[in-house]
Amino acid sequence: MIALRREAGRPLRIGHRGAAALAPENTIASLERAVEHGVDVIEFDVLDTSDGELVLAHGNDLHDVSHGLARGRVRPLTLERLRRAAPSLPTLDEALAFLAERAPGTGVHVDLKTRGCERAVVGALRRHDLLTRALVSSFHRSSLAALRVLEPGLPVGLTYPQDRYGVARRRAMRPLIAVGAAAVRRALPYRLDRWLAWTGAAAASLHWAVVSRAAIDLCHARGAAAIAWTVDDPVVAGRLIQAGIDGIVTNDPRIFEGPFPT
Amino acid sequence: MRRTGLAAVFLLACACAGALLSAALTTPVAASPGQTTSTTSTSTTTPTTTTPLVLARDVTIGGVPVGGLTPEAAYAAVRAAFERPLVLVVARHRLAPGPEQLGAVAYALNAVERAKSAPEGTQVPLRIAVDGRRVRAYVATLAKRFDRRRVDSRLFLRGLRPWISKDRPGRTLARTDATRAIVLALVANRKGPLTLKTTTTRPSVTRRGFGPVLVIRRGSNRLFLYSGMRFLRVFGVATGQSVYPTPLGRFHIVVKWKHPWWYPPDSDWAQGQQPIPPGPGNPLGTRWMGLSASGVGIHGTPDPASIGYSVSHGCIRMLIPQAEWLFEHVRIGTTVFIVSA
Repeated sequence: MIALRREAGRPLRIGHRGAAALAPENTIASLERAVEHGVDVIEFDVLDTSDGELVLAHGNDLHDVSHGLARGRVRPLTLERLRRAAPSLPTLDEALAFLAERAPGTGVHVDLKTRGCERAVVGALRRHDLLTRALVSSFHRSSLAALRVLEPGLPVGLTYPQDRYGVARRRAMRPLIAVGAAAVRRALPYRLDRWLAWTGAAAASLHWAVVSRAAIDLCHARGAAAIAWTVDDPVVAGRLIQAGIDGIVTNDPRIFEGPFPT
Repeated sequence: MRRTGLAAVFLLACACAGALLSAALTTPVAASPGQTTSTTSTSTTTPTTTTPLVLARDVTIGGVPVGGLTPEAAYAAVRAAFERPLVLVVARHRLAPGPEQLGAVAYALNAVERAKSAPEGTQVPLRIAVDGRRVRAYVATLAKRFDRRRVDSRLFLRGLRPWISKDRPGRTLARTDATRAIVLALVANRKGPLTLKTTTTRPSVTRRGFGPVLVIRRGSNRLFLYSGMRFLRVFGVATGQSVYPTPLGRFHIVVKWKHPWWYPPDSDWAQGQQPIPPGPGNPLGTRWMGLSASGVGIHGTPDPASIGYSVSHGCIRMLIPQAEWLFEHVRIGTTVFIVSA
């Protein structure tokens, strides 16, 4: 199984949606960039289409998923139609085949965006012999429970918080979000304990703005790893490393090369 | 003029801020180099996932030899052994449900993890958890498919001959035993073939042991005795005259009486007559086999000349020795068909 806890020294370097800053996110090219930059773990999102095929996509908005080529929704489409709208979009199988072949030793962090596709995801990981180096995370407790039954021992991660309404994307909401994040950061250590106990998660995948030293310590006390997403700012990364974070998810793996200014 | 002045001031301020910021960003790096040393290398392989390349020799996981395999290959081997369907034999049918269909969960990843650090020749157990509810539900579907009720034979008259429908024994799957056997097999990763026990219930009425059946042809004044569907004997009888016809239909014998008394029935022809005790002059002869049709029965007669004619008051008359013989070969409950042929 993948070692998520930071033993000593540096935390896990996790490429967000491949290496989203270096190539279009959630594409094979992006995964390639991440491998080239020697990340420890590659993270990507999985969404199911209407015909049950799993694809690498982080949301239902076709405009985002097709990198601006089309508009509409992703999940009602079949794979074939989705392919026409977004030619560079890989299926989960293609991505896993790539990782199994081209990135031996690199961990796989699959983020489930929808409930109900746990069996298919575990099946795909099993087909490509990737279960021994996989971490599967989700916002949904029911998903984590399903995963635990499908493959006990597979490390699962609890993702938090979920931006259900896409508020973070709105510029006007920014000051409000800063306040909200501060409030959540304060409350998180009190809530995280219960969540980790419920889900049996091996990792808590948290937005960097809600991570605090107390939250990280609590994860460690529960035997879980604390992972922060999505950190592109070396200053933030440096601060998180000092606080004891176990993994950092970044769009730009180059931030691990340089020094971390404080 | 004033606007350009402002712009100049703003630019100057930006430059100052930038310089300050860059200074602030660069200084701490020089001050604390120890913090960054561990993150500089990017090309080296990580120690997180590939520490032990292969498992030690002669290591087994749940009986599956995985010595010398990579953890991935070991997982695949253990998983393949786990995923083989469990072969069940129920009532000579072979079924092969997958273990996951039966709610079995193998802790294969944990076992591989333990095997990684296990010394040579270790037998690592493979923990398999089984959801008893799923097994019970599966056994219930099996029971639904394979359980059947016993079917008793039924008697009909077909073309003047008795015909007995086929009987079928009942079958019941021993559910508790089956559930326990399946759970034990799954937990031990045994894949069978596992024969599930069924209990058989015999039908209470069968074709073979059906017993005697009587068919009386009123028109031809004959009584046919069958054993089940097999013809045994035929007797000439006397049946009711047209004023007092023998009733048609399906009846059974309700009374058997040796040396009966004769009591006058509640009918016009018997008005004012006295009961007659057993003896040579008794109109019922020596045997009475009363039918479920009221007042009608099969009996011997002291008047052998009437046999073969429709002369009685509704009863079926037989010769006394034949009636005595028949008496020994029918039971209370024996079906009697009376047809007009």
